[in-house]
Amino acid sequence: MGWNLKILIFSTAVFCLIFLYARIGVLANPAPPVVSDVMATDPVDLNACSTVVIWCNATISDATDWKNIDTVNATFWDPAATTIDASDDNSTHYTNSTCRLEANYSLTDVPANCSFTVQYYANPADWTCKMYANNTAGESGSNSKTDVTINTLRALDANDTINFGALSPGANSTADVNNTIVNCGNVVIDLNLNGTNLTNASATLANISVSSVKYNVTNPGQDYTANMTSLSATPTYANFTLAKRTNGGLSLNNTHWKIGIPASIENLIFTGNITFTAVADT
Amino acid sequence: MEKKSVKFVSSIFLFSLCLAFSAPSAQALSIGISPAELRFDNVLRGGYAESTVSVSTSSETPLNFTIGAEGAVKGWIEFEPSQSLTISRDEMKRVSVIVKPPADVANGIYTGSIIVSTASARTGGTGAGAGVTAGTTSDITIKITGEEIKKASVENMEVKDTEEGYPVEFLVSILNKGNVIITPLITVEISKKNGTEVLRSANYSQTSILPTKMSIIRMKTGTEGLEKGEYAAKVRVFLGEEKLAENTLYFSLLERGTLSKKGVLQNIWNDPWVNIGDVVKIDAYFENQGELLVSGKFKGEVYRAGRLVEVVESEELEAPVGKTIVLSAYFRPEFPGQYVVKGSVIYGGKTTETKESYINVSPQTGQLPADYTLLAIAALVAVFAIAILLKAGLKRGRLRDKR
Repeated sequence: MGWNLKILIFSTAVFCLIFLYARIGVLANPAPPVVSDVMATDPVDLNACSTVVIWCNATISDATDWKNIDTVNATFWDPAATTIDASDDNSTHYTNSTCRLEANYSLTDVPANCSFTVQYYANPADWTCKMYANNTAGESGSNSKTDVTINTLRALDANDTINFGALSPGANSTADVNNTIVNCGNVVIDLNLNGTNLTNASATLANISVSSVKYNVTNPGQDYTANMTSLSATPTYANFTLAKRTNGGLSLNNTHWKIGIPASIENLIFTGNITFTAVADT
Repeated sequence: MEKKSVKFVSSIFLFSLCLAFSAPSAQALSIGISPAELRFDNVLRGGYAESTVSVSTSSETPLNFTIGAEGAVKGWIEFEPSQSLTISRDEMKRVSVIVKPPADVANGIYTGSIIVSTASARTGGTGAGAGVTAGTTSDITIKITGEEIKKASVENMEVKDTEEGYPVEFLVSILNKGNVIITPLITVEISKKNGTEVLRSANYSQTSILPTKMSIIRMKTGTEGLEKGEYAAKVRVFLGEEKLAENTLYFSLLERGTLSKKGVLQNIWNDPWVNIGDVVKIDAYFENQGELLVSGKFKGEVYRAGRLVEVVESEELEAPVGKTIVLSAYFRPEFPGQYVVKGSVIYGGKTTETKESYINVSPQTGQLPADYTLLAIAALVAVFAIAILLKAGLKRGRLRDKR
């Protein structure tokens, strides 16, 4: 066998080995899926004492066939408060491990939608949404959208009536009538309080003036004539400092109310209005 | 005499108050506003600025609310819409906050509040002493300036493929970041892809954009005389002398009938837990992923224990290309149990795949079957007791007769 033939055979063998190695290598290591630019609901306005559904969407691509894409999942978190790997927390961290793949755009591209049901007390901050795509070979690709703004939500929930119960003319309430305020948003709230006279159009002797209604928003069981504030027709600030909810129960606190009845008053139904307004905590 | 009268009135006041305050038990009343702070920087005296707030509640039943402004900026603020404002748990309301400061106001920083309040739930008539109004505020800060600022950014440019004989449409999104009205100029030059000769050119400057607002300008250019094939369009956007953006977009001019109609029913959503008699809103999220504007209508079948109980459908609405619309249908369950809604969207002569949602219906409060069972048992016991008494009475009568 001449040298030329030997070199030719050797070269062919080396070429074949390289080809096989490359081929096997390619087969063993298919390209991981690619997650295109992530789009997200931005900004997010939350829903008082309720939830809102937000979306993170992206196109997932597989170099050979979109059907190789096995699962898509996503994490939505507040990076200033927690880490991506933390466990779920309604204030700071949400995951969706079953994002939906929609109808494919082409042989290689398919849109994926990840939804999150976000609670009203999610932190007001710039959040990040990161989507992961996993293929059937167990490889993963990902992409993120940062600075998804969850807006501040200032909200409250109050009982819709204040029932002062049975009182004689000239008497003052002895027991508090409570109205429970729930913080339904994601920021601390104080209160503005105002009201109207309790009136009846047929009354000729007297109505119950708005100032006869008194409150204390912090301490229960106060005497009507001491340590209680008369309600006014103009909104009056009350330092309530009701924090936003965390993962425990509702964030709520009672406001305490009493009324004084004029000594001379007719047998009529007296009605009025009391307004609770959530304002910024100062 | 007068004392006597007052005494009489007083004596019955206790009773009347008892009556007056024997109102139904209190219910929760919630309202929220987001964001809780609004800031408008560099608003021109006599100028214009706009933003949006969302008003929400957790109340399942629709709630009316009012919106207004307080503070130094009270007279400068308008709301759109300002009337017929209703919210419910699944229906938050977005309200535009429009700032129009007077032309003679001094430069400086002005503050105030936006106040939203529910209508008082219980007043008058048979109501209790005080009905409660729930309200909340969003703090507003406006910085007034006398300096005119002309500034804008191009947020997006796109073009869609078209068919022979149809115009090609360019969409350019421009955000006015200044404090004066702007009228940007858009120029388009179309050439063959990889070619240099300009085959078509067009200018557009008919849309004025208010400060702080974004406008999506749709600009159509005719394709008459152009052959099928791929084209490049050089799009430039100018604000006065300043070039805001330049981009080359590519599109295909296709044979007639090539473009597809493609819609996807993303999801069907409804409140999963309701009571008998509640009206359940079923929302179908339909996305137009095709290349032509289509109209879609949701049609659903509601099953209970495998039996079809009702067919529901939404109004027909237009879905722009690339947009998701919500098609709403309504259903009122009459029996407790689990219902399955199976539905699809019909659009442009096609039907999407079918999706499902579930409704769990509880017996209405106060209509618990257990109550009826107890009542029935009580009635039976009563009848039985009466029968025994009657029998005993008859027996005694007969014994008396015998004696």
